[in-house]
Amino acid sequence: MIASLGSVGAGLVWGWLLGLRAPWGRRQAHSAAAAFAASLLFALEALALVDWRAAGILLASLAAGLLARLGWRGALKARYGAERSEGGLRA
Amino acid sequence: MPESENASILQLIGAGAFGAVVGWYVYYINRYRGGDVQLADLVTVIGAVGGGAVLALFPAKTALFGAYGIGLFGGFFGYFLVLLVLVRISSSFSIDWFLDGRRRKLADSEFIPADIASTVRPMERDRGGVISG
Repeated sequence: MIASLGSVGAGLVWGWLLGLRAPWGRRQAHSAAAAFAASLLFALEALALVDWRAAGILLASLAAGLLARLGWRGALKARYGAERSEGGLRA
Repeated sequence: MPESENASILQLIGAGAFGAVVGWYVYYINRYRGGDVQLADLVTVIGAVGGGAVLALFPAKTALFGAYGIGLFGGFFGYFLVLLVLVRISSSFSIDWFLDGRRRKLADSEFIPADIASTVRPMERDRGGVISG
């Protein structure tokens, strides 16, 4: 139980961090591959320290964290766009 | 056999607290970083979040990694939550601060000391000048 919860927590944090700058800079394919490799290493660490189930949970949580981050950014962008369409920023 | 049987309560609390400190600091570092997020930053972060220290400190097949992950989540999103609460209760900021850093102008009797570190951006600066959290 603790291991599963911990994998969820670590995965969400890492996914959120990956979403900070997605797509990752100018060399997107290269950066995405590096991010994928780093995520895989993190999952392998969970596999080594706990078990395969924890690694799977970590990867699933990573995706959830990434989506949560992109959703948060999308919501803020939508709000920003709505304000601009209303005639500019409200200072 | 309970998974925490190999680790004492004190060890679990320690691993969780260690994760919380790392999570809190990762958010802090990201908030005060000097430039755009680069790939090297991500490599550094994965080194801090899940690097050699974690492998060295936590024996395999114990619940310590799980406690660390729970603490990491608590520290990282705890910082975010505290930020949300502070922005919510402050009369000088609104949720729009997360968009573009806007805030009320200082009153005549207020000032910000020059040596106070400033956030380069609320969360991040996106392409085209739009700041998004």
